[in-house]
Amino acid sequence: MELTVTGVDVGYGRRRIVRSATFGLEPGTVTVLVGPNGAGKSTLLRAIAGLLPYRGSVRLGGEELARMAFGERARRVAYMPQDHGSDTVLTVFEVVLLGIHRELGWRIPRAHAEAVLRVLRRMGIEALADRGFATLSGGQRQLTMFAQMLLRSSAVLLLDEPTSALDLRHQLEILEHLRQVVREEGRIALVAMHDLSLAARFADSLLLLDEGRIRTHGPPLEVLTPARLARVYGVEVAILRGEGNAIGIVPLRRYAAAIDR
Amino acid sequence: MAPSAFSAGIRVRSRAGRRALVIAATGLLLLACFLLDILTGPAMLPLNAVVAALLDPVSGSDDLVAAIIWDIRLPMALMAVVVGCALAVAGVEMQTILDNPLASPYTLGLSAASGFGAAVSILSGASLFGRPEWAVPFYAFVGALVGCALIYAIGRLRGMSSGVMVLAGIAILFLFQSLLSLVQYLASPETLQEIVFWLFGSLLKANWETVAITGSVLVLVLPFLARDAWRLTALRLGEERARALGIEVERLRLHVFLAVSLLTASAVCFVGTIGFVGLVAPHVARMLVGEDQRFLLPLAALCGGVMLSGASVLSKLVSPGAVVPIGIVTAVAGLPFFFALILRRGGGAGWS
Repeated sequence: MELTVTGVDVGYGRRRIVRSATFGLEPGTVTVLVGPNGAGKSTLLRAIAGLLPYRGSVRLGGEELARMAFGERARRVAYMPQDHGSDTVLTVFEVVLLGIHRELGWRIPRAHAEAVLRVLRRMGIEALADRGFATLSGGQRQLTMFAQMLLRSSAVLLLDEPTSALDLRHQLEILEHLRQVVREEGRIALVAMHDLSLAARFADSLLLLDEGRIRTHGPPLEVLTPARLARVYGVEVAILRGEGNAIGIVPLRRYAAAIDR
Repeated sequence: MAPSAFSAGIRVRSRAGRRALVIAATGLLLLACFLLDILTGPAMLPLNAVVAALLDPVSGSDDLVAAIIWDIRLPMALMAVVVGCALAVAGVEMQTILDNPLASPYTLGLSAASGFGAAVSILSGASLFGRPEWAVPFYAFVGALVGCALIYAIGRLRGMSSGVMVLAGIAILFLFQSLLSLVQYLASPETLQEIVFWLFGSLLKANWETVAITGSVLVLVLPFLARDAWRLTALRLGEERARALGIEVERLRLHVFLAVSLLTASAVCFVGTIGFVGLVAPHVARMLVGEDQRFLLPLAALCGGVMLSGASVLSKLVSPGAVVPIGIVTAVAGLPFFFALILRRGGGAGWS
């Protein structure tokens, strides 16, 4: 089931943030959404998730998402918002369990509880099962929310900065898990991220968003050229090549013109 | 890895077991408070007379004792339980949907609005369908609903935003307190005394009819809230995360707010201002079982019942032969207990 976004405009009030976004995402692929601050990455994700009104069309396997009931849409399209802290005393176990709240009655079936423990084990956080969500570090919260997302069986996974608070090891862990479930189960992932090197390492394709418009969509190494990064970010970069898809992007200096932009 | 996952499973299960135990224990405590509430009173009835009147109201004891038990003490004791439960349930869900630990029927101005309604009724000497004793509760009920409607209308303008609704509630608290002061300023000394006594909060006007009305509203609202238990639990993750889970937050907030408004109005209109329970009982329950609504909702209700029922017992023991208005006793008696819980838990996560 392909996700097709056609001519999508999103805005807050009269301010348009994303303009005529058009692209298609294939099942079994991870696409990373990159672009400068304020380019509209989160806005685009929230619109696809159905949390913001938009003009245009978002179809999943030909079915218009806007025509679905909100709960049904959320079942098909899972969204992991940017981490912004929490003040709840809910435990990690409870937070992950809420991923399947629609299937739960007053009693929690044993199979559901075991599924939660399995996904916690998979993310290596089963020792945190009865810790309060609000007492976790930012990175542990991201692992928990990712575990919650894994527990849902949505066809489309939208993630906003899922690795921003994670160390190198856990960045790899989340992205490897993500790529694995996406490939094995034919799901679609769209991930907003700032780290271009990490994006290049894990993405099947990159979407470069700048000032609300999609500038390019293609394989990471084709999208991330010094000339394009200079134009979009206003920064001169050196691109270091490693093995396979691995590249390192080192910012060297700002262009004076970028300051006016 | 296996042993630690195994122990995680055990820990999760034992936690659920412990929560059920806390709820059962609080239920027993509520029963004890309720019985004690029936046994105590200004009339100093002997224990065996009370028991005899309870077991066999027709022929088991003399008419006076039976009348005291069945017409005064039982409705009052039941009213304490029902109103305590209602205020605590209203408080816990207001705190949940408004994402604010200070939300409660009192702090959002609903008690003040209700008090204003009562004061206007007392001042004007209004009567309802020829039954003057119903006029004050009726206007108090309408007052509370007007307060809710104002919060709701202001919230509606801003997409049921929790911050706006809390601010609206605080504004309404000040508005109705001012209006209440105005009514008191205009009232004659005798009327003023009556108004002030209503504002103290008291169970003395409880009878079987008031118990039945408040109790039915509670019984009608609880299953409605229980149906939304998981959605309300998810709301504690924050609005954005809850919406990402497919929960229509504005609609949930709207439904629960309407349910809770009705519950609040039906409780405060018969007993007056009782401030402490709706704010604190939810926090006590949260400290004991966390924020899973399957446990939090029933425990908050039980805690509210225990607090008001216990306060009712105390209000009769403070000065023998008299009943101090329960609104005065509740906070004074409840505070040390509440502080003890906070200090014992010290530095815990979340609001509490």
